[in-house]
Amino acid sequence: MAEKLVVIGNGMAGVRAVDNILRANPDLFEITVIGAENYPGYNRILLSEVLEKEMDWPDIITNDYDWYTDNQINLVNDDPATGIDPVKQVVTTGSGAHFDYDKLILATGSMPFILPVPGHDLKNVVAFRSIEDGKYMQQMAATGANIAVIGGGLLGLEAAVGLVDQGATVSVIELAPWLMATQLDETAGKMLQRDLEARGLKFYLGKRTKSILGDDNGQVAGLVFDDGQQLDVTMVVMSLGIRPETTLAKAAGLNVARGITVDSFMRTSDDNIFAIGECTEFEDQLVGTVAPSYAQAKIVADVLCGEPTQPFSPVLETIELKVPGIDLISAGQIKEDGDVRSIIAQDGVNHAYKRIFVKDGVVCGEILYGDVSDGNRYFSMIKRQDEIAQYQATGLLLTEGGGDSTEDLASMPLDEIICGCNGVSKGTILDAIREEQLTSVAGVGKATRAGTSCGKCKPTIEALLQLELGDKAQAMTETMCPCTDLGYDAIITAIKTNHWLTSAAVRRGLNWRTEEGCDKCRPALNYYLNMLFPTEHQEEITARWANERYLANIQKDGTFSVIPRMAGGKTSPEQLIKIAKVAEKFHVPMIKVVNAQRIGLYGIRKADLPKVWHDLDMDSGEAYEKTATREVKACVGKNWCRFGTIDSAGLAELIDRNYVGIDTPHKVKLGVAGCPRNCAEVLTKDFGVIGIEGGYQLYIGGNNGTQVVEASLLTTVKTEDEVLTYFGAYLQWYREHAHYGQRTFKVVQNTGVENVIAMLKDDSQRDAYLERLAIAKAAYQDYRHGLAPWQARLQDEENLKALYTVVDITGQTVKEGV
Amino acid sequence: MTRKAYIADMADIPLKMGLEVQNGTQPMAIFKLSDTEVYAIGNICPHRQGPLAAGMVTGKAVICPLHSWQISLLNGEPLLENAGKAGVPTYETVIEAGKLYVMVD
Ligand SMILES: Cc1cc2nc3c(=O)[nH]c(=O)nc-3n(C[C@H](O)[C@H](O)[C@H](O)COP(=O)(O)OP(=O)(O)OC[C@H]3O[C@@H](n4cnc5c(N)ncnc54)[C@H](O)[C@@H]3O)c2cc1C
Ligand code: SF4
Ligand code: FES
Repeated sequence: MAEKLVVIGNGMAGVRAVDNILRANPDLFEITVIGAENYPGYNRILLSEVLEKEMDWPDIITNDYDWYTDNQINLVNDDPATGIDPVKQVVTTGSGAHFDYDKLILATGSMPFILPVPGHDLKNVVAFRSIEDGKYMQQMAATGANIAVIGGGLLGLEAAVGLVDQGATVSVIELAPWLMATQLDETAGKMLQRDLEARGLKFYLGKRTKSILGDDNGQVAGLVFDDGQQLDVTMVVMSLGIRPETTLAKAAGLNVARGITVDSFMRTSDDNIFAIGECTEFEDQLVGTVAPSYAQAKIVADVLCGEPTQPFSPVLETIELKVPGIDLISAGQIKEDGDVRSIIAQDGVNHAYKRIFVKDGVVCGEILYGDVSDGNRYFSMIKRQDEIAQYQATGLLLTEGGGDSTEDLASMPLDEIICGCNGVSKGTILDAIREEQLTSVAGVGKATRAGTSCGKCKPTIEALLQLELGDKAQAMTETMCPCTDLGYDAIITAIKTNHWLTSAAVRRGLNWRTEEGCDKCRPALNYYLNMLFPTEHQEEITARWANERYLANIQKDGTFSVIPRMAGGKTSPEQLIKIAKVAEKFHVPMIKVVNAQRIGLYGIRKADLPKVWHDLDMDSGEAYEKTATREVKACVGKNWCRFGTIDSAGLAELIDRNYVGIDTPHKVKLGVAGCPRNCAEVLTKDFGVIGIEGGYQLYIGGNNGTQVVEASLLTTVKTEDEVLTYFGAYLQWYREHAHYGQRTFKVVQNTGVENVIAMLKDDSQRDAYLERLAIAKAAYQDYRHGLAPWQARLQDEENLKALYTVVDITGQTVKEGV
Repeated sequence: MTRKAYIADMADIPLKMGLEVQNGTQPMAIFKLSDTEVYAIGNICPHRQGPLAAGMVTGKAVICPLHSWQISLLNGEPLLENAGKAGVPTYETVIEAGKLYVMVD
C-alpha cells in the first residue's frame, strides 16, 4: 500500500513539491492536495503581468485540472484545511472532510499584511495575492476607479502600474521618503518615481495613513493621512509586505517563530510534518520569493522519496521590477556604513545610474537604474566575493570588454545560476541543449524548467542557445501551432526561399507533425501563401474557417448571418426595401443594426444563403472575413454636422471602395470622424481619421476588445489621397508583419510605435508597400473576376453546390434492409 | 430496422469538406476524403451542438467550427484534450456504382 501524503496549500511551493515527487517516483505516495483557492496550480509571480496586460489569466495556469487527474492526485480545492491532529495524523477541512496522512507538507504561503487602521475592513480594501484579488482589481480599474495603493515597494508598484494600465487613476502612498526604499537609494528611487509619474502614477511619499473613510454601504469613500490631508479614493490596495501563514501549524502545536520553524531538510518539530515556501522560517530567515520556495520544494521531495539531497541554505538574489520599459536591478548590501563604501556613476544623457558597494575590497552590493546590462556581471562578483584590488575603483563602472555580453556569457562559469527562480545553472542548461538537442527557449524550459517562472532569464537562455548553436538556435518566438516547433518568421522565410506554392508543400518541407495541419496553421499557411505569392498561389478553400468558406458568419446554433455592404454607413430606400423584402420572405428571426453601421440578418439557414444573396443583389459587407475594410465607421461629417471639417462619410466610402476585399491577418476596423469631437470613436480602431481645420489626423494601432488600446497619432495630412496612401502602406506593412490572427495593435506594439511611424513617413518605404499592395489587390480582384464576393460566388456553380447543398433523408425509404 | 439511405452521387460530394444531411433528430455530417473513403458521423458536436459538417477536415478528424473540438471521423470520439468525453454516433457508408448510401436506423 502506498503511503498517504497530504499537502496543504495548492500554491507555488506545494504544487512544485508534488511535481518533484511525481518525477522522482510516481508510485510512492497516494497524494491529496488541499487548497483554499478555486484555481488549479498557477504562477503567482505573473499576476503582475496579467494586471499589466502582458498576459491573460489562463496563460498563468501551470498545472491544469487534467494534470491532477492524470497523475491521480486527489485535489480538494476551494476548501481550506482548518485543523491538523498530529497524533491521529488527520487533517480536517472547512467542509468537514477528513484526510489521514502518513506524511504532511505545509505549504500555506503567506498573508498580506493589512495596516490595522480604522476602515481597513471596508469592502474594497484589498491586497494583491491571488487570481481572485487580481480579477477584482481589474474589474474595479475598468470602471475608471480612483485607487490608492498603500506601499511603494516592489509589489505595490507592480500593482499600481497594472491598475493604471487597466484604466484606473492611481495614487501610491509610501511612508519612506523614496520608492523601494529597501532596495534603492534616493537617487535611483527618484529616477524611478519620475519614470512612473510619466506613466500616470501619482505619489504621496513620507505619508502615514491614519484612516480609511467608508460610506453607508461599507465601501471606501476616502483616505486620510495623519497630517490631515485627505484623498478622494474609492478603493484601497494594501501592499505593505507579507506575514507567514502559520495558523494551522500553531494550533497543531508545531514550533513557530515568525514562520514555521524548519531544519535544513524542511522538517518541522513533528517528524511526519514538513513545511516549505513562504510559511517557513529557517535560521531566523523568512522566505519571500520563488527561488528559495522551489529549492525547498526540491529538498522535501528528495527527502520523502529517499533521494540524496543538499541541505537548504538561503541564496542571494537580485531584485528587479516587473514593469515593461523600466530597468532596474538591486542586489546585496546597498547601504553605506563604516565598512561599506560605494562608487557612483550617473549618465544624465541616457538616464542611467550605477552604484556599486564595496566592503573590505570585495563587491557586496549593486544598484543599477536605466541600463542594467552589467547587472549580472556585478551580481556574479558579489556572489563570488571578487576582490576588486585588480580593478581601478572607477574602472569597475566601465563596461567590461567593450560591453560584449556574448563574451561575458562564454566566460561565465558553468555552475553559475541563470534561472534564479528554478535554480538552474549554465552547465545544466548546456547539458540539456546538448543531450536533448534543444533549439528553443521553450524546449529548454520543458527540459530544465529554466525560464518558466518569472521569465526574466529568457533572454539569457536565448543568448546561450545562440552561443551554443549559432543560427541553428530558434529565436524566442511563438510557435505557429502544435503541428510544428517553428515560429512564424522562420516559416515565412522558408516559404519565401523555397517558393512553395501549396500548404501541403510547406508542411512536407518543414516536417510538420500532422499531414494536414490543424485549424490554427491551415488558415495561416493559406494566408501567407496568398500574401507572398498573390498571383501564383491558388486559394485553398478547405483551409478556410467556416465563416470565410461560406462567406457568412456562423452563429451558435449553426445558422448564419447575412450583412450587406453599406459603405460609410450610408443606405438608400432601395436598399432598405430589398432588405425588408428578403427578411420577410425568408422569415428572418433577428434583424439588427450592428456596430459597424449596417444591418445584419441573423438566423439564415446554410442552404438559404445563396437564395438570400441572390434576392438581395447587394455587395457583401464581408463581416465574415479578415479583410481590410469590413468596417469603416463614420459620422455624417461636414455636409450635415455644424462642427464638421471634413466629409467623413464620403471619405469612409472612398477608403472602403479602394481597399475592399484584401485579405488580412485579422480583421481591420477603421473609423472616420469629422472633427475632434470624435463621434465615430476612432481612437480605438486599427486605423482612425479625425478631421481638423485644413487636414486629416491619422491614427494607428488602436483596439477595442478584451484589450482596449488607444491609437497613436501617425501624422497629419492635407488631402484624401494622402489618407489613402498612408492607409494602404500601413495595411500592407501589417499584412507582411503580423502573425496570422494578430490584430494591428499587437504588431504595432511589438515593432514599437515610433518605428512604425518613422517607416510609414519615409516616402520610399511607403511607395514600396503601396506597390506590393497594388499587386495583391489586382490578384484578389482577379480571383473574384472583378466582382463583389457574393456576386462572384453566385456565379461559381461548383462551390455553390459543394458548400451550400443540404441533403434531407428524413423518412426516406429508398432501399429497405441490407 | 436498418435501412440504406441514398445520399448523393459520389462525384457531387465535396472533397474534404462536410456535407450536411438532415435526418429527423439524427442529422449527419458526411466527409469524403477520397473517391473510396467516405465517413458519416452525427452532425451535432458533443460540446455545444456545433454543426460538424461546417468544420475543417484534417487527417481523419473534423474540427468543430464553434470551439475547435476535434472529432474523429473513424469512431466519432473527441480527440486530444477532450479525449474520453462523450462523442457522436457513426454510420456505416456504402459506395455502389458511384453512389453513396448510409446505413441508418
Ligand atoms: C503579485 C505578486 C508578484 C510576485 N512577484 C515575484 C517575483 O517577481 N519573483 C519572486 O521570486 N517572487 C514573487 N512573488 C512571490 C511568490 O509568488 C511567492 O514567493 C511564492 O508564491 C511562494 O510560494 P508558496 O507556495 O509558499 O505560497 P503561495 O504560492 O502563496 O501558496 C500558498 C497557498 O496555500 C493556500 N493556503 C493557505 N492556507 C491554507 C489552508 N489552511 N488550507 C489550504 N490552503 C491554504 C493559499 O491559498 C495559497 O494558494 C510575487 C507574489 C505576488 C503576490
Ligand atoms: S465628429 Fe465632429 S463632425 Fe462628426 S458628427 Fe461629431 S461633431 Fe460632427
Ligand atoms: S460546439 Fe463543438 S467545439 Fe463547442
